[in-house]
Amino acid sequence: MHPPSSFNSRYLAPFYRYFHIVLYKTYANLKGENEKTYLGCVWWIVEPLMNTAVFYFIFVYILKNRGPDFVVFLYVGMVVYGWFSNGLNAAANSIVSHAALMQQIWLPKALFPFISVSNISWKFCFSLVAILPLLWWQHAPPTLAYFALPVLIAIQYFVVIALGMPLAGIIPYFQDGRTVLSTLLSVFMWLSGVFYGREHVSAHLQPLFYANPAAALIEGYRAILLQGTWPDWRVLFLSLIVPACSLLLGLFILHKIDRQVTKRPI
Amino acid sequence: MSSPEVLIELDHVGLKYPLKRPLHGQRVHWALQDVSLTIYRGQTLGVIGSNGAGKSTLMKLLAGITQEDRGTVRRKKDLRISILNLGLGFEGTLTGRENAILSGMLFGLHRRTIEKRINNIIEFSGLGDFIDQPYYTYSSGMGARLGFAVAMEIDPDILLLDEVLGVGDANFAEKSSKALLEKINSDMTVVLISHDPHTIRRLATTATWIDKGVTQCFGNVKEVSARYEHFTRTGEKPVAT
Repeated sequence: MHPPSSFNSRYLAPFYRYFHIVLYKTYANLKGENEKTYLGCVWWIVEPLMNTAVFYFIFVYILKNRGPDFVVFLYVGMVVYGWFSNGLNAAANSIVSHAALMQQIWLPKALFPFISVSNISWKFCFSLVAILPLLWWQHAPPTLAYFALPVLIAIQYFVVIALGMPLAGIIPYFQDGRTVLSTLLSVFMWLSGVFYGREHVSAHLQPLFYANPAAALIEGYRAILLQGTWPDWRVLFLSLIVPACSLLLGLFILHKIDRQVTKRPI
Repeated sequence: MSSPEVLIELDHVGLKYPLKRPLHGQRVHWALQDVSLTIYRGQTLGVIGSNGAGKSTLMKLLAGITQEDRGTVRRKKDLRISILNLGLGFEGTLTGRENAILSGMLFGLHRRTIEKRINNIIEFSGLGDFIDQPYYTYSSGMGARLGFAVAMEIDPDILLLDEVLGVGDANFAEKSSKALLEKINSDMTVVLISHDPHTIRRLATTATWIDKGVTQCFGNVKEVSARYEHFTRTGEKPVAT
């Protein structure tokens, strides 16, 4: 038996504890949602399906500019963007929504975006994976490129947290930001290629288009699920530049406000 | 005899809260203005003061929830300091057992540690098979019993008590205050907040009196509580010592 090293007790043990706190809180939130509604987790699929139906109707029957494959194309875009935008909203509000807990015990503030985003991520993974059998039956069987799917999911989880981290620190001081953020996120849906593919973006705008991680991710999922090809790793990698900067900024802000934000009435 | 180890030392500490509307022309409220005290390992420090003295603010500062705005706080590294919160982080839809584990982890315990102590918790709470029912079906007394049972297992380096001595019905109140007294009288370091000088005299080994965010005196329990009682009767403050 080795005595526990100080690295172990200072870094690994807290990490392990925080990991389990996030797991437990996520489990509690999901359990809560399922128990309070009649349809429970069925909603996780029905909701994006309803949204897809509305937009499908608009694009195919009213605007008449999309083919029949559009429904799967649209569903993937809706689910991925839904995760992105709901996750970002939840992360931005994560400090505010845990204000009561923060008054009772000290926890590192960076933990709260993880708690809030994990819950939402699980729901969207569910709605993405649940549709796969239908996809195989109607569209194309799985290919080797499916191995990239968990990677994409992991990337998205961290992208949402990374982008939400600075917002989580700012929102307690500027609560109007919640409205600004949800408005921006609905605008960004139109800029993220939920309704159209890369081919509709002119070449000189493409770098800008892909600077938005949501666009790059949606593109990646569609490559795997619709075309059965590997996602464009270069594009994905470049789209991580903004989230990486955001993560550093977020950790800095949350460190600064760590024991100050609890003094504000929220 | 070597002097006991210092765990926390507050030196002329002030802490302010931002205000939404100006008060006396200022947008901040100094809840603590000038507080100095020392917490030694193993002692029970009684903090006495009237309402609005800054006792709860001091608790949050000691627990590391907030940070001082002036003065210095010296803290030994890696201390686990917990306010005794009954039902910390309890969620309605989780069962009593799941809540006990979540709460224990929030208090700073490793998941495996709290899982090992879960049987003690169930036994102390007296909830029996109800432990696996969702928390929202519990009565408030049952919730308090579970919360207390968890709090008795957390064993922090410093336990901060804000006048929680007995909870639940007469039976459980006796059992819980007995358990808490055992903790206070053990070698655990405790900070006990009260506005009742009798409680402080009965339990504390050192005491401090705080009024309007300023330490009035620090040291001998009898002396401090006598001065506080003199103040509450006559409104006279002692000459600074």
